[in-house]
Amino acid sequence: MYTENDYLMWLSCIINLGVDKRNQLLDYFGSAEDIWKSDRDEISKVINVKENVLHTIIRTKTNELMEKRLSLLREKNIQFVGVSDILYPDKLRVIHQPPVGIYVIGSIPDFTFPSVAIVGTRKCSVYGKDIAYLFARELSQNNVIIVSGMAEGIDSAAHRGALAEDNVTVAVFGNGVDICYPAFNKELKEKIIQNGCVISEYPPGMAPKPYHFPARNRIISGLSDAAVIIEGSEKSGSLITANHALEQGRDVFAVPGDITQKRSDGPNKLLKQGAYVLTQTSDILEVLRIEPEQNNKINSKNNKNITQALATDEKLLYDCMGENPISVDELFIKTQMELNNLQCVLTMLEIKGFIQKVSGQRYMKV
Amino acid sequence: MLSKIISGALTGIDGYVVETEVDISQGLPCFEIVGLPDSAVKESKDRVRTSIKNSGFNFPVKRITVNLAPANTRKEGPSFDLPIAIGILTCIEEINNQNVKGVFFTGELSLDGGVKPVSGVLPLIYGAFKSGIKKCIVPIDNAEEAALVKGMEVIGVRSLNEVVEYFNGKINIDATTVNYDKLFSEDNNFYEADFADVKGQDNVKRALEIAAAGLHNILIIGPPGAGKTMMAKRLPSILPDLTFEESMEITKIYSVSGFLKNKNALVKRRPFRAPHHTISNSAMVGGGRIPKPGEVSLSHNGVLFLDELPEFNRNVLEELRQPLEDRQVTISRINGTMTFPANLMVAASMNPCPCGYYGYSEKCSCSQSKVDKYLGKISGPLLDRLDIQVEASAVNYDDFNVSIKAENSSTIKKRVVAAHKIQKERYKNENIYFNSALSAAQIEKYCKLGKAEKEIIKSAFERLNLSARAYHKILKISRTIADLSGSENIGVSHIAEAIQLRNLDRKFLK
Repeated sequence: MYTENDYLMWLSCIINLGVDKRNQLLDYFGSAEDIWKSDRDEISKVINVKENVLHTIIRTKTNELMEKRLSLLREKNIQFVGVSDILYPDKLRVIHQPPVGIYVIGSIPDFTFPSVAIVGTRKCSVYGKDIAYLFARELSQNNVIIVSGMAEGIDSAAHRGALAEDNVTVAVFGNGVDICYPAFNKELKEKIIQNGCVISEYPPGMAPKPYHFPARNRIISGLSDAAVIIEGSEKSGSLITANHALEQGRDVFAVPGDITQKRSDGPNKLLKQGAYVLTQTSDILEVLRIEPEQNNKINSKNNKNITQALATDEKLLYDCMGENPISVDELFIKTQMELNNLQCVLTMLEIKGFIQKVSGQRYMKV
Repeated sequence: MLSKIISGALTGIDGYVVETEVDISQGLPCFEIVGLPDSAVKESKDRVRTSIKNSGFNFPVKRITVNLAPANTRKEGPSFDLPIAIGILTCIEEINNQNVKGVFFTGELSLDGGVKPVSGVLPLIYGAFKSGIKKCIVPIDNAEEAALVKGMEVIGVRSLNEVVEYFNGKINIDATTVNYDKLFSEDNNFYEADFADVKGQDNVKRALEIAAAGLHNILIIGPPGAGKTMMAKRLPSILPDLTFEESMEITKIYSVSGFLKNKNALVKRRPFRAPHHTISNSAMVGGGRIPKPGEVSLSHNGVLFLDELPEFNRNVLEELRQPLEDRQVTISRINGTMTFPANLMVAASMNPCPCGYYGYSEKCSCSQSKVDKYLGKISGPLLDRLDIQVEASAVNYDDFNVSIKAENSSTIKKRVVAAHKIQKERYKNENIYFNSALSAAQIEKYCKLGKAEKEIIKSAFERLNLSARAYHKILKISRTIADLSGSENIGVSHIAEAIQLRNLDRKFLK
């Protein structure tokens, strides 16, 4: 009376049962339904687990509990996709120890499109955040799905970059999908759900635990054709993602960083080991054999057209700016304009969308 | 035998006349003071007795009763020493009763009969003058301060003996006078700090100029060492010179607080107060058993500088909201409710994050939650009162070497003064003086926008992530910028510049 999906959901809810044991059971019995129908002795023959885990397996095999869980999922608008489901991403199915099922809020995108994971440390620099955003945006213009973990710092910036282009983005959680962690990303989570989905292998209500995140990272890399590591120390979660990606046969890109900073150790180490050097979006596109969408690219905006639309003052100021932020003081010295006029022209350029203000009273070309 | 001597006491920063009645009658020797004296007043018994004795007079061995009328207000401090002593000496006919009639006395006595200065002389004398008193005896160290009250004959004295001899016609003491013109003309350029010393940071300087022109409160955000404090310290140097009335108001407050020395009887420079961030509530807004002015009142007609704004105790910052709105602060204590003026301009500075380098240097790795928490220490309503929020950029070595000559304070001041004049003229029928005080209704009236201006403000809101509360602020600042440039209407360029001065609305610290 239940579907295979439902039985897989039951399997995924058993606490203290490792993902390897779950997959062992699935391999032996062939389907989750058969595990449900088997008895204690048979299960204990297949996997070597403690008595209390066995007890949990047997105890939770009740229709009552199943109904309760299913109605909870319906209530919270969560979809469970088992490993045998047609919606389950193929990319994820082929990895070592795939989750027996994933909980999803939103709609699972078509993973036949290329997908790239952009990850990095939470304690990132503003520069790291900026480039994560930029890469995510440019990849999005080429219809690449952006996968990340919605942690603060690099992850959030990557999601934001994708959202800025109204592109599909996927966040993988180390907790139940109904919980927003970190809590201040509530708004971001809603936006991700509108444009893509949030995914977790943990049942709803599961709180984030430190050991969830390394396991979560294998799903991030598993859903992606390539992983981009922006910043992270030598022992950070980003490196775990990179290692998973390598094991799963996915390409690893690292952005070279300042060698004096601890947060650059991770990517620099990966580069030493032979990861692809990432300095521009086309580096990824080439490796993934994606034809760049010429007309959409940010950098290919026709300079001539822009400058024609500007007044003399605006043109003068615009020409002084580059891709790197420049402070208003420097602009003042460079252009020798009156300060009040300068400020006014800056606002105009901002409103027209040609330049962007960043922290520290600095401006850069969009 | 009864004598009545005029003296005074303070409520808040206003003085009122207190009649010191001394009665000496037959009976067991005793010395009583009634009329709600505090302990310093009660102790004056001993000072008075000893100093009369040590001045060479006989202290009467009789029943002495002193009443401080009105008897229902609390009297504090040692300023009744002199009037009580004079009262006793008049009773025993060392001084002729007729001579001290209509003369105001104040002063503390020392045991050797010397007269020591007291605080709050200016408001005391001013209060006495308003009730029709024309002559006063004050400690010599307070004489110049007292002489600021025009029309009052001020006699500065050194000792009790001097007073007695003066009234008995044995010596003559010239009345102390103050030459107002000289007071105001001499060394007008007393601000050592000048904007010419500040290299670079032109956008912050411009923001400070706008802030000064419209008396907008300003918040400067920047990394350590950007010169935030240095620039804020120079703010008084571009504010217009004090008028005599403003100067008197400040002097009264300083007099009550006991901050005046004889050398600078009149406070001539605009106050610049920079309290440390560990300051308590009552030190900030005023308080104490008998309320005394706090920092907000001490910066009346001047600048209150709050360095490292998020480090301040949150309660202290919240207390600032009411004085900033009402331009005065009312303190209620058991001994009465007092109102002190607090027409001040707030300049505050802060770092963008706990380490100070967020967005400025690769040194910073403060997490988003840390940055949010740091910025969150300043509540929305308080932030709302800081009209201008400007970012200072980090200073490079090159900035010290630029050959561009920085403008000096007096040049900037001229423009600010002109803008103040325009505002005074425009708001002559309103109860406000500056753009910063415009209410929502007044903004409608005085900040009319043309079609192009409306268009730009609309697109700015759509494109630039501005929050709703920014709207009125931008209009007010635009009004000030227009006044600075001498134009009657707010133009597109004024609005565009004002938008650059609302950084915290823009959320790019996120």
